[in-house]
Amino acid sequence: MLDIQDLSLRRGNKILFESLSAQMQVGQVVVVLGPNGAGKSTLLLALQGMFPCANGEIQYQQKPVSTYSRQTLSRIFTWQGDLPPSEFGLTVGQRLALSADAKTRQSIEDALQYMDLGLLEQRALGELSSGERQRVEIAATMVRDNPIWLMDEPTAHLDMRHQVDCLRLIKQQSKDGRLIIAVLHDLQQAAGVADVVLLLDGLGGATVGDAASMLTAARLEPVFQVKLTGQGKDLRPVYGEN
Amino acid sequence: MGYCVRKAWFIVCFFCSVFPAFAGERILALAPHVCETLYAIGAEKDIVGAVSYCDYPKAALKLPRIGAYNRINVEAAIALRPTVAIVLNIKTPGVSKLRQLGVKIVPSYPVTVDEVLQNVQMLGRVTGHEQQANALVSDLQKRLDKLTSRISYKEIPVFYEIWSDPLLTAGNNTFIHDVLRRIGLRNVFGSLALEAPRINVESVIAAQPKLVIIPSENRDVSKRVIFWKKWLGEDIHIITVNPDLVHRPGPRLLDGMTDLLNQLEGLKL
Amino acid sequence: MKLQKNELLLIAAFVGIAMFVIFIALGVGEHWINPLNPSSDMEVLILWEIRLPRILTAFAVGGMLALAGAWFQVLLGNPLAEPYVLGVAGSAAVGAVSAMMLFPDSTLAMSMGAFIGAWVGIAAVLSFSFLGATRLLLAGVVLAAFWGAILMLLMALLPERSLMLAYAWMMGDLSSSSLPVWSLLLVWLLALMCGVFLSLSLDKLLLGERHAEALGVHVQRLRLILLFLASAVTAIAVTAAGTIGFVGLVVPHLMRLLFGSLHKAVLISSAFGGGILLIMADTTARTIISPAELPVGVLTAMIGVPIFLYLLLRRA
Repeated sequence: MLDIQDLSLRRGNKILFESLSAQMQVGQVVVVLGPNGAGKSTLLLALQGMFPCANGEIQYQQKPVSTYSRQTLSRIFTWQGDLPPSEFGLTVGQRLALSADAKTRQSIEDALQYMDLGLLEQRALGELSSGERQRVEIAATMVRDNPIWLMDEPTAHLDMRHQVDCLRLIKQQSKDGRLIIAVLHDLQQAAGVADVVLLLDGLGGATVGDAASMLTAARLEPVFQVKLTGQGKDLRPVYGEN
Repeated sequence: MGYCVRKAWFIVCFFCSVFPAFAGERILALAPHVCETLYAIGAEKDIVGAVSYCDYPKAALKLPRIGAYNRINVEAAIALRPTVAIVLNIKTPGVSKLRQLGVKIVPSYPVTVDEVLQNVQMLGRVTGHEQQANALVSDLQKRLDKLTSRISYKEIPVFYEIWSDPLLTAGNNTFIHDVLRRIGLRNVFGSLALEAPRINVESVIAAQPKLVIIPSENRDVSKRVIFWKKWLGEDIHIITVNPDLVHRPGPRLLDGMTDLLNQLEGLKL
Repeated sequence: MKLQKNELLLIAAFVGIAMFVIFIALGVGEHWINPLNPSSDMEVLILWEIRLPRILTAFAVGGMLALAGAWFQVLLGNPLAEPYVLGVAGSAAVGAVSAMMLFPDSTLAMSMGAFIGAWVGIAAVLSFSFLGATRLLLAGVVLAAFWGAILMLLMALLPERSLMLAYAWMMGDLSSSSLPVWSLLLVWLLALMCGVFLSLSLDKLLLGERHAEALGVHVQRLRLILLFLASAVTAIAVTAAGTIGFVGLVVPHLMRLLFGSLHKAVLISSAFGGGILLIMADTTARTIISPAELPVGVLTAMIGVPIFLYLLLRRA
């Protein structure tokens, strides 16, 4: 469904990564891992045609993404990224309505319900905590009902309960027939949801593989330059304890 | 020795401050009317510097310029080695500096017709041309008396259009206001305690002037005539005056007032 | 452009308020004239040729300035942006005064100068747009100071006889617009229609450029259109009435407080609210020390500056 062919991205003169090829299908959760500045967020932008490819191509249903109109792309991809500015006093309800486009009132109600925002609907974004605003962004992703979700650190700012809710949502939505591509930093969270892992090493290299083969100490230690212990879903960094 | 010099210096300063200055002063004339007056009392040889708009008589145009009436260049002024500066306003930037540097500052800001005459006398004293000044004053006074005796009408309401866009007029306590009063006219905005108030056309209509006076500078007088005929009626009288004669509190004022009166007598008021 | 029942109601309410304010403003002046029953031909003439054109100019100019303010605010992502703060009004004044020096007695030249000056000011601010919204605002403030300095320079060089006009123009002057009233009202209407037409995209832009783009907005194109609209409307308003500050800042903000931040409501209410506010300010300016007048810019700044400071404090 989403086909990345020999993709290279560049920011200014700096090469972020080169020669990334991958095929992604409905029903998958693809977790993008990599150190800061490796180009994870930029990759999410490039996938939806909001960042130019230095080389290679991205195809959606056998047609290059660049040939779709902005309008059409906005009906294929939903992007969850940075928290929107709060200066102008948009309320939670208004913010969701902007994402919902023509969708019914019901989808907004459901999303508010799921992200535990029912009481905040009339509040201005500026009055909320970062965690609450992050939940609004995830709810905004839900109301859009697009086949592909691009999520940039969806669990950032969230408390443990809402992190779990969020990861469950990702798992559930992929089963219901979406492709979800998420940037995550936590190995346990990645191991919990990933079907496929896309690893950017920050030096120009990019590798793709199924979660089990990618989430190993041998693969990740050189990239992140930390010592890892355990394996599979228990893989975790050594924090300096005995 | 040092003591004697100091003592002599003190005496000179004392006399300078007590007695009027003598001929042979080096004078800065820092306003157009000052310049005109000095020429009129024969003190022109003493003028060493002037400011912009000091344009009468023609010879005055050759004087070195040291700024405008509202701002002077102190360095240029001092380079002329003045002993006296006659200024419109002692608060003008640069004037206090001149005073510190030892230049005698004489303010000259007449706002009534009578003060114009007193001002001529004062300038005569300051420059040591008292005789000429007194002769000029008595001449001016005679012309003024003659003019006043000619006035046959009373308190004609008049609108004085200082500026057309925006519409400005003369308020109370202004020179123009007094000139109008002396010539038997009533400034319809004479009760406003502002120098040059902005006025709405409506207010002029409500004030019902019989006469509009327009200084003939920077505006298309024929357009103004059409404008005022439209708003004040076809029978409104409109005359123009030379602002240099009427706005400057100098010796040519009587020329301006005579011209005004001649024009007024030509109207059927 | 679909208008919901709510928005039609809003428009109807504002038309009502505007009619009322215009009626009152028509009546007051040197003396009260009943607009429905003027007692003489002269009163008829005063009503329709002095008061009405001035009131309608105030309405159109106020509405345009408020719309331009709302647009600049969303464009720069900063609710403190407005033409006056960004130095656009200052550059327009520089243009007008330069034209006065070159062609002393031509009103047309002055209008053209103001128009060109406004565009130059906008271009100057926007050439810093790569800096991001906050610094762009800062660049605008610094440029405003720069234009102020140039203006002082020009005024020092200006022959005295042109100074009066320059002063009047810089403080805002609605008594003698150089543009015909009907054209100003037409621009007002067109600007409002464009604004309402773009309102959904503008709302999305409130979420930031990337979110807007992800939601299907052509951000670059929208920015260009907005810039063109905001600068054209500013230039026309400044040409018509000189520099009148703070209407563009205060009005959109008040309307957001009253009607929320979605643009259909903000733009409709700003277009009317700005007009109504300026009519009230100008009516006060021409009657408060009657028969003399105050420059209208003095009044808007006196109302605007405290509100501006209050907004700054509230944000801090």
